[in-house]
Amino acid sequence: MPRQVNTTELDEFCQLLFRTLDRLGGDLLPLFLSERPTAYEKYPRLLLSCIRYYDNVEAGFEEWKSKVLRDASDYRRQQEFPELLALKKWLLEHRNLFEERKDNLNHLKRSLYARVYEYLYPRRLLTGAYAKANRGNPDALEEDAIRANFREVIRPHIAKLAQVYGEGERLQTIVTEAEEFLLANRQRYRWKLREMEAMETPEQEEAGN
Amino acid sequence: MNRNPFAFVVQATEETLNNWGLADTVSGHTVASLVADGAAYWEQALPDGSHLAVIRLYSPVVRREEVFLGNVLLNDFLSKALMRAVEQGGLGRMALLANDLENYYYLYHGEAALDQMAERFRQEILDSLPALYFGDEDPARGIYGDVGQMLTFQLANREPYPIFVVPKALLPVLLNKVNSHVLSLDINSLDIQKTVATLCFFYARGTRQVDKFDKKKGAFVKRSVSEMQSDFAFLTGAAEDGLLPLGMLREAFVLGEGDCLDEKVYRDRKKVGSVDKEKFVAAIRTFLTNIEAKIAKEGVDTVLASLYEKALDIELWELVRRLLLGTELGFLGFNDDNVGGLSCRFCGASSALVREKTIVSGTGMTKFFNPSPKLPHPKQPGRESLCMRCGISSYLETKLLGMMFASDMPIPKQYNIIFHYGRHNEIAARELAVLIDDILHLLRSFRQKVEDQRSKGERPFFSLEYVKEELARRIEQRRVQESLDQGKIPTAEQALAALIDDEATVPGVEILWYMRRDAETQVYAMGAGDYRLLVFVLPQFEPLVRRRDGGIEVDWNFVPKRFSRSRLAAFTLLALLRKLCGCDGPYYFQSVPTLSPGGFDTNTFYVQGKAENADAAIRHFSAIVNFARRVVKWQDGHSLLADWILLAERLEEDPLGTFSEVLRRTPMRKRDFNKEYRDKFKFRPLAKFESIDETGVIDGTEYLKLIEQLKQL
Repeated sequence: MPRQVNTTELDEFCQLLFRTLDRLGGDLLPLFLSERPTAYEKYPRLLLSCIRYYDNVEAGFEEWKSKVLRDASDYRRQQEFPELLALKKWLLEHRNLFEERKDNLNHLKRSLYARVYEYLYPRRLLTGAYAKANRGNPDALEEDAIRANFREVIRPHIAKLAQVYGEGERLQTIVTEAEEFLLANRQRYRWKLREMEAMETPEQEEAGN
Repeated sequence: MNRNPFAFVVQATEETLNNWGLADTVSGHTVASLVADGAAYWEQALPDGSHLAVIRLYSPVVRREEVFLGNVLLNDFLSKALMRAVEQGGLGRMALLANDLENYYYLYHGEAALDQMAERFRQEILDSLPALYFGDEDPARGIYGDVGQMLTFQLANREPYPIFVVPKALLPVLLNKVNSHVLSLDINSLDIQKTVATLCFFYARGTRQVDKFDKKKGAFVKRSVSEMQSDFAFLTGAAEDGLLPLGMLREAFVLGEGDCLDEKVYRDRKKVGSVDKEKFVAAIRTFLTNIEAKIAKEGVDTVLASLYEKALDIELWELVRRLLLGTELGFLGFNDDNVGGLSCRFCGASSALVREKTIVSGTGMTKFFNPSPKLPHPKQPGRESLCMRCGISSYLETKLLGMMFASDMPIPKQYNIIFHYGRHNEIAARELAVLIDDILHLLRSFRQKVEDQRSKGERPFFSLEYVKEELARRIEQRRVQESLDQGKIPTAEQALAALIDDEATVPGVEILWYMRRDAETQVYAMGAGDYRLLVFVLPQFEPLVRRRDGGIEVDWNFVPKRFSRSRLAAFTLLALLRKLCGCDGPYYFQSVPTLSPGGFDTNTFYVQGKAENADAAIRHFSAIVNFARRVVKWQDGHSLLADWILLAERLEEDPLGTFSEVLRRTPMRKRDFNKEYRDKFKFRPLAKFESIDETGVIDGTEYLKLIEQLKQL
């Protein structure tokens, strides 16, 4: 007999999982959204497959963890390890959601792309907007400058997101997490923007000629 | 909480009693509770020896697409016939208080007993049968439609008129009606082919020897051809018998002295339109006069033996008896069906009497039929499949909607039927029909304009945005020209603009523009009084055209099926009608309105038998439907309407799973918009290429909004 999927708990799980992956850095979740859908889903899907394979949350998580830690950012894997432990704790507390629950796992697999998109888009919109607004100004990607100016620079984008999420706690969480992400990944943004500038300059020069 | 839905019965009772000078003899609330309980009969004696009674007329409705609407019309006719019977028969006074499709509750004042009323009722139906079959529209008598709509066929040889339901005794009336229809046609818009086909069907008299052109031999050869199979054989046969002077026929087809009237010449003249229409009408007039005289002299059964053989062999009083089978007047039942034989294929309740043909049963004729070696096939004579009630219901439906050809077979036209209770009278119903038609015409004119522009090499895209812009331009023009009066009935432009501005009704507008262009909307107010049951008869959807094996396949049923299976799609259409009519009465789609508690609550949509709060349904589903409609992309061999209905259904069933698929198959990144890739995506993006920003993808605000709404489902 078909069972109803546990939507509320799975939403909570996804938020926790995406947050952990995002904080662990590396390319666990894409920095720019122009990546293919597989880049969004790779690590979350891997966790689900491991759990499904063993039909045991603990065993599945351990195997997934070793893979994730290999691919995470060198510096951040130490710093964000507690996040992984928190995720494991949550999974163990809610193991009945995953063990012998193909319906929940299948539902998660089907809906993963939409869930990751929903998590990443607003956050990357804010960080990307800040980086773009300060293109050619590497000092703006210093920690103090970000803390001082981040919310001011991206105010129009926050207003845009407020149309979707309202002005409440949810929006504040998104902005705070985006700021933390930018702080943690500012070197990557600096490098990426420089690369993009280098790519665009010859074209602009050609257009100018 | 909904207010008392039976308040209108209280009001109608009090008004009626006041009009009769019997105020305070019985409480309106007592009558309303009787109606709510479904009481069949209730009586209260009055001091003057008369009595007041609440009488229920019950007539069952068969829930089959082929006969449903016709059965509703039949019941409306019966309900009005009862009132006429009582009042014109001097049996007392009678007023209709409330009705659904099967039950009619009357307030009666007089001295007659029920069996007297029943007898008079039968007589009234008997007297009204010719009007029921062939009468012009008269809603006050429960007569709907027009026989002229049934005579639009171009071929006579596929039984395009449901003659199998018409009793032999009414054939002279039918022929008179056909004659007056043919002679009343406007000469300028006269269609020669249709006119000859009509005459051919009704006045064909056996077979003729005709010179037919044999392509293999390259010469004319004599062949024996049935007049019904060939209009040329029919005309030459009429000329041979002296019913149609040959000279007049030659003049009508503009033939010179040396010209020969053969089949090839006849077809060529018809094809290029070189026919003198005035002389053609004169020839037809002569023919009709001559054949009428011949019929008067020799009888229909002799002159038109083929037609006579097809007509229903039944006495009219027997027909009335069978028509009333299953009905109840108060506590009296008309259930004396003692005729044996097979039961009706549609209702299963009465014995079969009418032969099954596509014009009677639609495309599903003989579907799911297991042949019996002991009985003839339903297509053959001697094997009847339908009872009198179902047969006449089908006839009434065709009389109302007209006929059409589907894959060369004549069938009753298909429509979308929606019911609604509200405070609307017949004039309001007619105004609503006109308004919906005007909106449909407006949409069609926009579409036509786009098609014209495309044929000139321009590339406009027909979309809601296009309609919006065009409307704004027109309204502005009109404002300048005549300065609009506030408070007037909205013009089609204003009504359409209001519908497009409202997110809840936009999908309904899109549904309207997929409706057939050659059909019109009809809105009927059933019953009597202030609170009416409206029947919206909306045009059916355009068929799905697929290219297959180098040819074209037209599927008439695919889109209507997809639409009627989807509750979401039904809600969108109901939301639109609700906005147009402006009241909060209940709407019914694929549901039968009933006057039982919970069966006609205000602010409720009844779809596929389930009740849903209308405001909640509109709020809940409009986001999904709007999203689905906006992202679905046109595909060859697909119906856009069916595709977005399907997507909306899937979004409701598995919101985030389906949404993932939509995102995956939508162009979002720069490279997706390259020539090489852009046609490979199944869905349209919700933002333009220009909106690609620092995230590397198109603006995702609309997608985020929908995810939020989906999570609340």
